[in-house]
Amino acid sequence: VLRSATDYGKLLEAVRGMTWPSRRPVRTGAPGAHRSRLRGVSPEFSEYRPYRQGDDPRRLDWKLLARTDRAFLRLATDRATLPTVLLLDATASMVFPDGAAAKWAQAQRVAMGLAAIALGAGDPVGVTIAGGAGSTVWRTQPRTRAGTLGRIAAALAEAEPGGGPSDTLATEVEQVRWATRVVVLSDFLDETVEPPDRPAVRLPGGALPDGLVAALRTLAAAGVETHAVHVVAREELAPERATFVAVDPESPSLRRPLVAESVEEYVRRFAAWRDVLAGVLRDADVAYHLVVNDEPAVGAVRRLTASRSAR
Amino acid sequence: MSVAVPLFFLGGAALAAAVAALHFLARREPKPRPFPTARFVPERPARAPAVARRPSDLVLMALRVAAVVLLAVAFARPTLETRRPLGRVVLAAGDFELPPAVTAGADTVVRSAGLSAGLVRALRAAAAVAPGVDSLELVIVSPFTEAHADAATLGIRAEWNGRAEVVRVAASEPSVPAVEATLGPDDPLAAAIALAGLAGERGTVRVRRVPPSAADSAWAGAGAALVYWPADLTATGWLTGDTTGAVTAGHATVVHAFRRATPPGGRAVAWWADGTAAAAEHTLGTGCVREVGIDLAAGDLALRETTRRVVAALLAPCGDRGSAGPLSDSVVAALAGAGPLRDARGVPGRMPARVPAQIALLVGAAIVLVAEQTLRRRVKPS
Repeated sequence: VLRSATDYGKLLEAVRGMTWPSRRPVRTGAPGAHRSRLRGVSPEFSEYRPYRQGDDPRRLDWKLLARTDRAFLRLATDRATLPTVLLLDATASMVFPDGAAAKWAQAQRVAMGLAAIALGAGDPVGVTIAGGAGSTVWRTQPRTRAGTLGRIAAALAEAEPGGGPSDTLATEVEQVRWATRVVVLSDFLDETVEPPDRPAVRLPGGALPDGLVAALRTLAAAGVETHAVHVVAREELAPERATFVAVDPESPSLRRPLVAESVEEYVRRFAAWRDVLAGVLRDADVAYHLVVNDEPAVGAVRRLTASRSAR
Repeated sequence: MSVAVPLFFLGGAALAAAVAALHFLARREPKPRPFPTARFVPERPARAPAVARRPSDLVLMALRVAAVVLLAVAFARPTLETRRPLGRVVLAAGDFELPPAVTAGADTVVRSAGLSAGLVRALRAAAAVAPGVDSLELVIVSPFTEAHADAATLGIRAEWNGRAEVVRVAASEPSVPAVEATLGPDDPLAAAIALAGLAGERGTVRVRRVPPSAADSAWAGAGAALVYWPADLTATGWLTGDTTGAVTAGHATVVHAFRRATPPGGRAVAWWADGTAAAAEHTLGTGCVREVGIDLAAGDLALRETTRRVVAALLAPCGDRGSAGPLSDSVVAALAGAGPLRDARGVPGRMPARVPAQIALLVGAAIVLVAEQTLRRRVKPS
């Protein structure tokens, strides 16, 4: 059971020194590690630009003006911080399979790894956990101060995954437009109603989580660096051949016998659904990452942080 | 216990095993298990075939297996009695003394004057013997003469589906007709009659060397046989003036240069070598008059064995042309038949003895099936 930051000792040790650059220049923010859209006064020279009326005369290159009698501004690349919010899906479907191999545990590990890297770069990091019985929300505000990682670990430990499907996570995603980087860790199975008006994304076996996807698309369209971490279990990718009745933990009325003859069709449907989900998200400029529950969390974190970074 | 059709036992066992296996493979809902991506599982009936550690509905399974076993046993036709491998039916056709060696070990001995009637009796006797044996052996004991067989014999024999053992015995000596003959001591016919053992004071055959009198005719008309055997053929006018090499009567032939004499009319009872009649018989009342044109005066002709047999044939009672000849070898071989012994299971009249046991098994299976149906309706009311 992961209850404190020390429980993630090996993971945190492994991600030490790793960086998580932003995918594009940061619009604004306090000085930090990420490249800003603004040209500021940082010591890192970028280029010269002719002086225009209204420019800050303090940024004039006086030596150049004295030497050539031409007024140029000395531009430098600003570095900004990247407020990061990690949103975790804590519905019942994440508690599969049981124990430390559950998708929820893997989401916890990946979230802690990302939080540690972001905090290492000076970015404020907050965590929002949506799910559990009664659609509870556990939240930590983005902080950079010491002990933030411990509070995040405590929040992750406090959360009790469970409960049926809800749109709580989608609602939380819609409310973090102020953030500049949002990471959603979910199995994307929390859909209450299949959207009948979206046949393009309807597939045999289940529809896309319309509310969550829509929220992510809106977020990405608003310029927020958005990551969708799709956590799946190995058992979901390749179920065993034993015959059993598959019961949706979030909708117990959904009971379908999984026999050896239907495994192939199940795998095909699930893969097709994942492809559509990834396609829809990538088309919306949402970075899609597939993380399997039994893969090393360090590898998953490294894969996430290395994707399409902006220079 | 023996079983008529063991294959039903094997089939019943296989079917019972299949029935029991089906109770282990009953369609039931498999064990439920949380599976978040259940929505991607193809829809199909929730009940799927699953192997169980314990059979479902033990009582139903027991009833079904019992029904199958009862039906299999019923169709296998088991018999509890101890059966002997061989039953022996002895048929004695004819008038003779049965050798003890033949009757030893016989289940039944059938006696009859003829083969046809005897075979019919043997077939009936086989039905009584068959229930206790696997195979039936028919032993036909007979002199096998033409007198014992008739046109129906082989047809009746064909009803016995199996080979038979043929034992030929000597027929009892036929009753010798007493021949009344007033003959001189030098008469060769007298010698021949004496040698044939036919001589007697009163009998059913009377021999006259001269034309018979009215008294003789009256005597013959009362059912006796009057034989007119002229001592001098010259006076009869039967001589044709030539000679012939042999004469045949009964089953004997005497070879000699006879003067041919042909009695007029009547039914020929002896023939010269060329087929003309040497003796003829006329019916007279219930008897007959037989005229013989054979001259026995020459040499030792009357002393020959063949002559004795010809004389015996000609001095036989009316209608008797002598003792019947032996049956041909082909007829005897047909009576013996070939192939295996007769299978006792195919004997008509044998089955009814087993029907009650089979019916009991079938009734038992029906009762079990009714119980199974009733129980099934209680377990799963429709």
